[in-house]
Amino acid sequence: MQVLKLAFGPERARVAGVGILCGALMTSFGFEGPIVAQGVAAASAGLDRPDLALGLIAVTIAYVWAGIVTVRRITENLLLAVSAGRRRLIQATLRSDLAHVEQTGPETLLSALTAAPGDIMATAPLLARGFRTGCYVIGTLVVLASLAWQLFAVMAGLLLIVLSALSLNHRAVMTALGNASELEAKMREDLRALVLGFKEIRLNADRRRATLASLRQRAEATLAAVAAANRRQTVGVVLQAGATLAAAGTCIFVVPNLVPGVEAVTMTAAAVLMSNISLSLVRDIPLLTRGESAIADMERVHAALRPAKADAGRQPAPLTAGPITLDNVCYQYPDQDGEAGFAFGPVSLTFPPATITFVLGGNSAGKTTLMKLIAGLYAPDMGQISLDGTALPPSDLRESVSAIFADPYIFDRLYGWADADPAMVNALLADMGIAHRTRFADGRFTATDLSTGQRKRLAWVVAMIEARPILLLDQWAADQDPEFREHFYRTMLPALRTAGRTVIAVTNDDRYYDAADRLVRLEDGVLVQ
Amino acid sequence: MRPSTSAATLLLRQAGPGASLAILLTIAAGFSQALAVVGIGLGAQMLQKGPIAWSVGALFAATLVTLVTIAAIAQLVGQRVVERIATSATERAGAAIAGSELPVIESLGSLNVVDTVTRHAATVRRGAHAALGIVFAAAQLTGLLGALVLYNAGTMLMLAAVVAAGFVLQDRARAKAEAVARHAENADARVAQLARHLANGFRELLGSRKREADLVTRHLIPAATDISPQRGLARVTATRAGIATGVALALVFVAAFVAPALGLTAGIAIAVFVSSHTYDGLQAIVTYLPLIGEAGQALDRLDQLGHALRPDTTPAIADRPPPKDFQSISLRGVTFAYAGSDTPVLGPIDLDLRRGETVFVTGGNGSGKSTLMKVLTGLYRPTGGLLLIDGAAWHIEDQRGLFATVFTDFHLFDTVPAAFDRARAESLLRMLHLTGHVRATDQGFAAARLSAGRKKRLALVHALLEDRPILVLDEWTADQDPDFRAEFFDALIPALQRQGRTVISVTHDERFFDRCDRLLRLADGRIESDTLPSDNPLRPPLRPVGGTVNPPT
Repeated sequence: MQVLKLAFGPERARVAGVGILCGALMTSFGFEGPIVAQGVAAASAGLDRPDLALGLIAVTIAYVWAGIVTVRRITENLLLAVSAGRRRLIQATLRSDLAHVEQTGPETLLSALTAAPGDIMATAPLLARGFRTGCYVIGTLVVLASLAWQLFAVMAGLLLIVLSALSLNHRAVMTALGNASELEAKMREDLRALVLGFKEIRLNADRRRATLASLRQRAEATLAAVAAANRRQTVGVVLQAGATLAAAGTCIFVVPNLVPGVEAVTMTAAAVLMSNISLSLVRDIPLLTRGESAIADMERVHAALRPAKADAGRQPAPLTAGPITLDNVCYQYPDQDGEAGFAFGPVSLTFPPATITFVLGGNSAGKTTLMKLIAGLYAPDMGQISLDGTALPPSDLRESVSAIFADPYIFDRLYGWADADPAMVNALLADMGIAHRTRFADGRFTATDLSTGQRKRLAWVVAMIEARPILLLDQWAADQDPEFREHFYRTMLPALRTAGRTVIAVTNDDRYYDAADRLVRLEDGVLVQ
Repeated sequence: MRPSTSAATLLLRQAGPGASLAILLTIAAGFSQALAVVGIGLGAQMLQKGPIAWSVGALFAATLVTLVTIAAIAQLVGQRVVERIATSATERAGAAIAGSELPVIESLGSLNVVDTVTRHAATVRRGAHAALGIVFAAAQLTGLLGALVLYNAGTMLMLAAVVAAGFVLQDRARAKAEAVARHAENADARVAQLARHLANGFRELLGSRKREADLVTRHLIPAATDISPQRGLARVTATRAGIATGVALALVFVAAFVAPALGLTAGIAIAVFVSSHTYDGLQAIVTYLPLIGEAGQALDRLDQLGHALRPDTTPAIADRPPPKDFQSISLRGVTFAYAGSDTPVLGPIDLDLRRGETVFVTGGNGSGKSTLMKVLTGLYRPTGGLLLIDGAAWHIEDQRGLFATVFTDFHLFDTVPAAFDRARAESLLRMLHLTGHVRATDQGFAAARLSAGRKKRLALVHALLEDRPILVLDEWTADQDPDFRAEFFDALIPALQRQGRTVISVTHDERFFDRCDRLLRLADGRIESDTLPSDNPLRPPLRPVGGTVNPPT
């Protein structure tokens, strides 16, 4: 079980954790059972044992203390593990490249970062109880061995049967739960479609019914899959609930009939010990396995986020740009569903500084791919991209380039430019005609839920604050009205050129092609003249 | 304990009639577990006088078999109810979303809605599991102490008093536990928000080390790795578990040593046996209570979401089948204002649309084009004025049935309506130059990676397949290349006109303005001009740029 490994703590914490745990538990957990059992047995027989009464008081104090330490320690270790896992996942994401993150999917990544830790943490108190049971069993075995070797043998055999049945079952339960969580993910996709496709659903009652029906159907399928997992788990419940009580019953009802002369006190103590082997442990298995599969989820996402191809060390980004040159750059998308992925390149191109270049081409000609390559978001499979004569790895390219894509994501804060002057930001917002929709106050934009055209204007404001030498624009003007589009091509772009910036813009606005210094046309991933 | 127990009943009520059965079975399982323990205690009592007859042992064995059977059934039924509660929370949220109104969804933020439902459904599942666990433990404890009444009521009362004292102690820790839990939940929500930035804004983050460093190093990692809220929670939980342990051992002490010292020796073997079996039940209650509290909060938040989603409850207008077609749509003084705002962003609009017209709508950013489209299609309910179809007012749901749309932020469904005409889909794919990129199968469309422009064309195929009398397009040509854009205006629009479809298209392609029957120009949320293109020069003069680019505020 992965959760157990985590509960014992990572690295440094592990040593301390195990030490404290074992010390505390062996002294109290191990003695708690036998003392209680003897107390019960003695009282049943009407014996007066003040020593046991004192022992019980002492063990109660030690035991309560040890219990608190255990829960705290296990929670602490799980917290550290979860927090380290999150950090690792975030760092793996940052080390990975866009292609892998796009493939993993934002929802999967998000769920690994937010939902999985909750499921893992929920196992902490259960593990503490499980640990108590472990110590109890060890203590019990020792005591039983001292009472009679036959009792020890019965108990050990019983444990062996229960444990091996549980572990045989474990794999099947995990597989069944894995199926269930896949079905659950599909159900969540329907939920997403309901929200993101809300307009379409609202306008078409059939579609709404179909999507809701699919959600219900997938919910039913999830239930069926979980039920299958449960049927398997029930075997464990039956075994344990029955076995411990059966063992205790045997001590009381069977053994004294078969072994003449055995003492009632001994058998009572044995019965108390056996019947008290925690029955709750099995009830916790569903939650424990959920935590277990949450760990697997985090691991899976981590593995999917393969690191980007090794970059040379990060150099400080050049602040003034010379020409940017592509030399035989190729990029191949992975195949999907048996269909060959799109192949871009080889493309060789030079963009001189302080110029405006428009990239033209039909749908799927490779315009956005070219932008992502120059922006350093995709690493070329072949060829290189250099700035001012120096070949730059993607990570350095990313520092020289500002890019606004067709579907820009807007952050609610100016991350990285927290000290930006609010007056300046608000002036830029006013310039872009969106001051009535959002303001910059207390380090954040008051609204980011804007129309596509407005989001692009806000992204422009952010790009101006970044002040990079190269600006990439993907269909920036597509969602703007005619007046603003005119303003963009006739005023905003020339102003950037005057400021010495290199502008590379994907556009289909053939009315404004004259605004560019140069037109570059792509078709099927290669340049056409 | 009240808020938690009410949360538990709330939880179990979610599952409907199945829940009552699960609760009954769980109670039965708890009682029979107690019964078996009492049986062993009884045996221990009899054992003091010598070996017990085989027939008694057989009785015990039979009890045990019954117990195991009940426990197995209870577990199966109970787990099903737990899962049902979690999935039905998601289903209900889905139904609430589907029944909500667009302005509401827009103001809540679509991704935010999905995140809220997903996260809270998981918490609800844990809570439901915990609720059944508590029912079991309570039944077990009640069974154990209750059975003792038959043998030694005095000892039973003393034990009950110890348990009650334990609950008083627990209750004192509760207020603190709830505050700590709320704090932890808020911290979680903050992490979810920041993680959303990482997951959806990854491309933008990659673009700047400075942005990445700020978001990730200064905000996300500290928030995601801050264990103090959870540690606070663990402290409280540990203390509560400690109290439960103390109570369990105190029960043994009272039964084994205090009661006999007071002369309460009747049925002592049963009393001590019973008292030694309370540990599990007490621990389960303490462990599960916080989970139920969390689930209660999660249900509250889902409820709040459900309320925020405000279902559309306008009664249907009876006795009239919804219109399949129309001759005219009239807007009379129609206005629209967002909730909580007095200033309308649209209107008053007076407009008559006739069947078969091709209408182009143009105007600056924020002039109200998209809002007008949303009001016309019934996605926004007018805040003032009348919208009449063939002279009559209709339920908004009926109004919606007239339109097929492709908005700028359309969603491509991977499913198609039940009556999917594959041959027609294929001819539409050909018409939109998608053959070779999208395949029509009997289940719908199959496509690998599509560019933005091609996705939009596929969305148009979906819309055309709906066969609604009116097609509404919002900046449909914006992502298309010049060749295809020309084809859209020169071939596609005329073809639709020939079919008698009414087309309403928001567009900025002035060069093609002569292709429409009417050109509506919007400014400041009103119709500035409503002209025939023949009245219009091909390229209408634009307002001068510079100082006037700002839309009026």
